[in-house]
Amino acid sequence: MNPLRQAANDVNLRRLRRWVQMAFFVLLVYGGWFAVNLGDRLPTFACGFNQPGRGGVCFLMPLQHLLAMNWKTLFGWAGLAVLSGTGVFLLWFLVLNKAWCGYACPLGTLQDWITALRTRLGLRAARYSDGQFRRLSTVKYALLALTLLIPLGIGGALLPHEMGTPFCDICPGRTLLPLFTGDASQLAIDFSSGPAMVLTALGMVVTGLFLAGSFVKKRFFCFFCPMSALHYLFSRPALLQLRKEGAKCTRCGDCHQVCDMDIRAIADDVTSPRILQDDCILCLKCVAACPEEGALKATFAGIPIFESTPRGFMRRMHKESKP
Amino acid sequence: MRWLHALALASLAGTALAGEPLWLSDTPPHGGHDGGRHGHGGPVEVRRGVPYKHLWLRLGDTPRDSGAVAGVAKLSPLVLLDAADRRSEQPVKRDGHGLYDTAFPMPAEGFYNAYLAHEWVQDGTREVKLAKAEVLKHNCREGHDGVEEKMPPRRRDDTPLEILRERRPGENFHSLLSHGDTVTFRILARGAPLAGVPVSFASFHGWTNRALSDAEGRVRFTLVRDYYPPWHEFEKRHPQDYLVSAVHETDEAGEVEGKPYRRTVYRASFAGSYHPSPKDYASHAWGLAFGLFALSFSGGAVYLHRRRRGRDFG
Repeated sequence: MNPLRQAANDVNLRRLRRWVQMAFFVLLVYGGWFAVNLGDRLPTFACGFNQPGRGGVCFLMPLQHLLAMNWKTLFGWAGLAVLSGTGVFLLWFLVLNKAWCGYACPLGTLQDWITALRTRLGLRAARYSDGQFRRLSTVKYALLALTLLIPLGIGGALLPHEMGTPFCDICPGRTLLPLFTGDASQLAIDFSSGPAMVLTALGMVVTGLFLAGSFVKKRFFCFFCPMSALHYLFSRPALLQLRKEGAKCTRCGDCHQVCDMDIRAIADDVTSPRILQDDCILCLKCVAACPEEGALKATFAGIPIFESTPRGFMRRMHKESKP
Repeated sequence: MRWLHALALASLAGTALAGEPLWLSDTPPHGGHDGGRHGHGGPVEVRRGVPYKHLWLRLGDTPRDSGAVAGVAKLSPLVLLDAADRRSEQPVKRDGHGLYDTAFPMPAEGFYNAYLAHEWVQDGTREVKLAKAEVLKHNCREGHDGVEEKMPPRRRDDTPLEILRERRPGENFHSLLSHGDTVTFRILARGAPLAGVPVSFASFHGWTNRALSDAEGRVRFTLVRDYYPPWHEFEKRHPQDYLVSAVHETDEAGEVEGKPYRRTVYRASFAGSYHPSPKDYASHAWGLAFGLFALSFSGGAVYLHRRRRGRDFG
């Protein structure tokens, strides 16, 4: 085997991911202090409220602003701004696909840190039953619909203007990420109007649930994330993909066991070569945990960049079992 | 609209502009204009995709009680320094309501500085009123590159008296002045700082403070809360005009249109707006109470659920 490919397949994914996540966290949360500006069309939670530390801005924020313009403007020249913004968002997204969640999202990284704390304390993680999983998986689509429809309703003068960024108001990224740059101003309820009061109070409740939920359930918030739902709508043509050769799968279930999102199909589905699910965060832990040669692989533009091998599996097992 | 209600129009024929400051306001006196839109720099009129800023001429010591100027015999054109520091002259005309108004395009991002001078001689004294407005054009869709370079206040080295608002640390196109902030103004004469000039700050409803400029021409005012609507009418982005004015007397002598004068009085003005402070409407105590309640309630629920599930059968 090509030594470069072998080195890639043998990689200690846990350590690599930890460093990549840390790098993205610094870039997106503190980048602004180093004149980094990746724009405001990012497919991940680089919070626009985290000023001046932010290294870019999550696309959901400008998207809600744009959709809240009056319909005459929105369905005129401003529609082009929505389309061009979505185009830039797609250009970013199509490179990494849902790995934006698994490797880049600061809020996802924060959840992983809370999970690490729980593991150190020796507490077990919670898991969803199949029924719960199915029901909860639909929540993010409902939230995405509300995130888009409420601003549209404002543009049509059907809803009050204070609801202009409804998802930002309830997003724990708004309340928690600025804390990393010493800004606690978002930990408040805005009493300036009824809608603002309700939404910011809901935002604080969601923040409390986020902290408690992330402590007992891995990637608790990602199940409800409208950005994740938006990702999945465009994930098919993305360059980075997760593929499975069902004929090589023994259904040992290791991939499901390590999955932070509890995706059962990764182990059960032996017929679909495109195994990427809507809840997947493309962390590739399933590939790293698979002991079968080439059963699971990550491809970039169709070229395998990381695939399961018995050798890689054993090396990772050996490294991770060391004290 | 509110100041039309507050006061009848100042009808100022010929040289009857009294000792009150003449100033420029972007608040529409008759409730708005066609195609009006609100951006980061306040109200603008959009003509074929280009924002136009309207400035109305007003006269008075306080924003609320200032009337719109309706009848001056002769007004010189407004001098505009655009976002790229290019200088042009804009005519000041009467609008459909008989009020003096100027409108200029703001195609580029940044601050536009408008200057209007009006002078006359009466009883051997030359009165020069110098109104200045600094207005911002910013649209987030045009990005936020190079904002820092566009932030510093600009001045004219050929104007005899000018008020400059200094920027606060970290200020950008999205920054709003709010109640409780301390704002520094600089008094300049032909670009050089002027010490000992009496400067007056007036809030919208007429709360007034006075101070003398220091050796560097600086004077500081704290913006007082001046907005007390009922809760259901409260708007957190409600702009309230303020007016800063300075008077400087010199022994300059000469002649204007055949009228000799022995002394000159310069009255400069600078108008802006400020907003309610987040401290007026945001509560950290309630926010933390809600967050901690959700955290402890859900944490407790998970704990109890696990304890119940962990009990031995039988």
